[in-house]
Amino acid sequence: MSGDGEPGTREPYADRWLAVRSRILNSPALMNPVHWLTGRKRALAVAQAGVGIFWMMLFLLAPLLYIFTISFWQTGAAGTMVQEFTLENYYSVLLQDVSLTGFDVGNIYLLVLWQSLKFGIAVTAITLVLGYVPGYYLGRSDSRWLPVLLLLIILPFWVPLIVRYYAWMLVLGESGVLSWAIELLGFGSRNFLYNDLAVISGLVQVLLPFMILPIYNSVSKIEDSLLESAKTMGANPIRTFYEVSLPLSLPGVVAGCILVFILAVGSFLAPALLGGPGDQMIANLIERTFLQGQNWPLASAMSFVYLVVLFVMITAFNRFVSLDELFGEGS
Amino acid sequence: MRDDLRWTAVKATSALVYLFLLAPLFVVVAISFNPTQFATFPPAGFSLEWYYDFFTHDRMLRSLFNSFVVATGSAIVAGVVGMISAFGFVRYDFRWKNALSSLLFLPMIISPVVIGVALTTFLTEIGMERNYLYLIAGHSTLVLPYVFVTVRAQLYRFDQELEEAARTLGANELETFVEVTLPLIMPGLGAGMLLAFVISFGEFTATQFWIQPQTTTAPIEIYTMVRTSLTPMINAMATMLIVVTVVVPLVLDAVLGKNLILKSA
Amino acid sequence: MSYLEVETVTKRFDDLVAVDDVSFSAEEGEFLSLLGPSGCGKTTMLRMIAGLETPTTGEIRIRGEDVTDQPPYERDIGMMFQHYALFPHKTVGENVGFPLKMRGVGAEERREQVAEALEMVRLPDAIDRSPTELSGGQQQRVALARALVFEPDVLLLDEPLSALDRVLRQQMRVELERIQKEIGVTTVYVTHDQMEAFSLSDTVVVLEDGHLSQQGSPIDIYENPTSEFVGDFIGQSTKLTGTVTATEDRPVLETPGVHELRLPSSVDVNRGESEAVFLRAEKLDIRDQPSGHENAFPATIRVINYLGEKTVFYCDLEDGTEVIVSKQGFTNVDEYERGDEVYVVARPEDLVIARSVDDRAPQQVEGVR
Repeated sequence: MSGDGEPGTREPYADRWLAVRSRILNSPALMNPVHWLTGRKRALAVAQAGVGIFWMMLFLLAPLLYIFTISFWQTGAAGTMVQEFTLENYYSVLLQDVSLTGFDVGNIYLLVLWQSLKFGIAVTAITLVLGYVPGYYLGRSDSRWLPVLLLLIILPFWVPLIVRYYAWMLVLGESGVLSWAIELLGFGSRNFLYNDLAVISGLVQVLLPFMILPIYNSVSKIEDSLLESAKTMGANPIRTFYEVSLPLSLPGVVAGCILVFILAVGSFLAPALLGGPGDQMIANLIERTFLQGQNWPLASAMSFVYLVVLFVMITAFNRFVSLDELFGEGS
Repeated sequence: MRDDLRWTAVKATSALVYLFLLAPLFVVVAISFNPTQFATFPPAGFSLEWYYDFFTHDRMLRSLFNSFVVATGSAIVAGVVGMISAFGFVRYDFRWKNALSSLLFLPMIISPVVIGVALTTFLTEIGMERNYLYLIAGHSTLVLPYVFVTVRAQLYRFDQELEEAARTLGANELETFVEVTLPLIMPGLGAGMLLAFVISFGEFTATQFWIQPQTTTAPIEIYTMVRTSLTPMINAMATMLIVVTVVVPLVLDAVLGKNLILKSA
Repeated sequence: MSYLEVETVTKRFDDLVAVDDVSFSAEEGEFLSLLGPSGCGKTTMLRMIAGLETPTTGEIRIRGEDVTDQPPYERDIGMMFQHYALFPHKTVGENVGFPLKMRGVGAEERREQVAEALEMVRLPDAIDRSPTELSGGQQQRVALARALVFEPDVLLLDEPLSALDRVLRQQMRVELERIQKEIGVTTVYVTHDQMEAFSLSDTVVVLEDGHLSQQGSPIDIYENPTSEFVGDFIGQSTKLTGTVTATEDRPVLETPGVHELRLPSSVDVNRGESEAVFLRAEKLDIRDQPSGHENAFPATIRVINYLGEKTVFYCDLEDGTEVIVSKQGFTNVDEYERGDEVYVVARPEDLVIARSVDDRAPQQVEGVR
């Protein structure tokens, strides 16, 4: 690139770059396939949409299919798999008391699954209560700080989950913020960590943006004129809220609830960092069976039962709101 | 009068939720400058000791570097794959389009533990080595929906007459893409890729199944430290991760002036 | 060999035939309009000339070269889109310079030519502005400059004035004519507005439902429509249909509304055949008495629209047929009011009868195909 080409002809840099670029973009090596494709609309559609579909088939569907297969395989010694058909893994998951890493506590899997669902429901309910007001506020506010306020909701969502749960540990921990606060009030220091409340509060803290943003989206779409017309028709502010704002914000509420519920039930880090031994959730059980127990067929069976339970619940939800609305055609 | 009061109550409640949401992050940052051996609140002084520790700790730096490589790679791969497939889904009609598009959203619904287990079992079976590509393949799968959905939204708003204009003015298909299409979908693509970067950068749950000692990422190191040795270096590292995932995108956004972050919401 | 030739072009979209066996041609520097109601295929025709659509059958030639299967970027065609299609992420200068850049013109030369083109459309100061900041009329000028800056073989305009308000539309029409004549580029102009087509064009091609109805000069099209469709679509007129008879050597049309309509003696019609006759609104008169006029028939005034430069009367004939009379500079409007019984007068030589080309007297065929 350095040095002048021919003496006397001073070509501006931009021109040479333009020439190079135009040669690349017009090269037969690139354009021939493009022409081949643009001449065939069908092929182009398949080629484009197919890239993502193929990716998901290779890195998601094929793996899921594979663990579905091995969930019917037997476990050999020292974490090996024996390719012989068995229903034993599903029997263990659904019916049998399992002994995991030494201690026996009835059917661990179903207990843990039930516990996960309970946590999920509790977290969803609390996030809804805490998230509705700010979601509503953001949706109706005409503050010029609105972009900043929205940003403040989005940003925590960018911070790695591990950091956010760790931060919550610093709040709840032995010499943490909460302990310091109650000491100021004259009580003794206390550790609030390693119990179900810690897990639930941590999940609420982390998942709140997923509730606030969809509610904000729905509320911000309500036209001011609707609320005003309700008022002119004699509804007081509380009536107006119940008759107009609340029903119209429901799509956001439902979307937020589904998101929070799915994420809460599947959480690994919250119970791992904030919970005690009795606060294990389904993700932790699968991880332990897979990584520590090295029992891949059993972990696969667990994954599948969990997937089925989750899909049944999502399908049930889906009767109320379409998933497409959840993921949005637009932002 | 009573209306104002009610609105004030709404504002006050919202402020409390904001405090609940944001305060813990400030606690981490504040404690990271605490000179004492144990993480206590309020901090007992100011020291950069733990940052010094962090920046001289090879394993920590290595993990941060790994996270960078993987997140950048995943953002690029997911960006390209997500963008191309968004074009296919927006501009053409084909059978089972809805069902196939939900396939691209699947990683948002399925728990990362299941994806982690499934992919590692599958890749072990086909004998893939646990290197960066392994992690990038996995992370790209996890973040693909985010790029897909943002680019798709942008493409729905795209005026295809602009492409036709470019072609009548002498631009071939590729030149049209480079000169007109790409710059115009850049806000959506950029927002999606930024999101892909931060999600990949902080991913832990699925990643724990995919790493080996050389490719350990920053979130995994923090987890290990939290579970084993509660050294105050965690606070320094956690603060660094906050900087990378929050401050860097914000600065980028301000410099490029595109409001990508708000668009990602 | 003409400069631009469209030969038996047909375009099918699945079941729909958008353009059906259309042929026409334009000489170098000619201004040709494709005129027709919406959905008549005129925009599809334009897009095929541009290369944005490929004809199902037929051929398009520019300067004798067959371009039918060439992609748009290999043709030298400047096209202006209905909504301008300016690139919002590029400045005005970059927009206008785009076709030059695609042709590998160096930055400095580009700048000169862009400045020249913007000078031509009288927007020399807009070069560094964003097109999104410009008014509709200004955007239009930029789009025109962009379509012309690379001196294309053919300029294509797709309803360029339709998005502007009335006053601006008039200004731009004059401007467009000035620029087209100044650089003498062969131009194809798509519009549904007869006034635009007539005032700008050397040749007008009327399309109906995908096929060509008539090609000719504006006068030709207006005075000698070759089909009922053209007679009806062009101008403001009343259509009367009936059967031809004859009195005293003069052909007469027997029609319900006016009983007997005398036709010009020169017209070539056959007794007993059914014909359609168009009464152009501006060529009719309103009289209080029928005396002394050849075709004067009673009518009742239903609506009077006073528009300043002209006055339009909507009258009902005896059988209820509506007839429109338009008078320029009509100052004694006050003498008439709704419900007045008047006589509408149509001079036989002003009647327009649609004749297909084959039926025409030889001297009228001139200029068509």
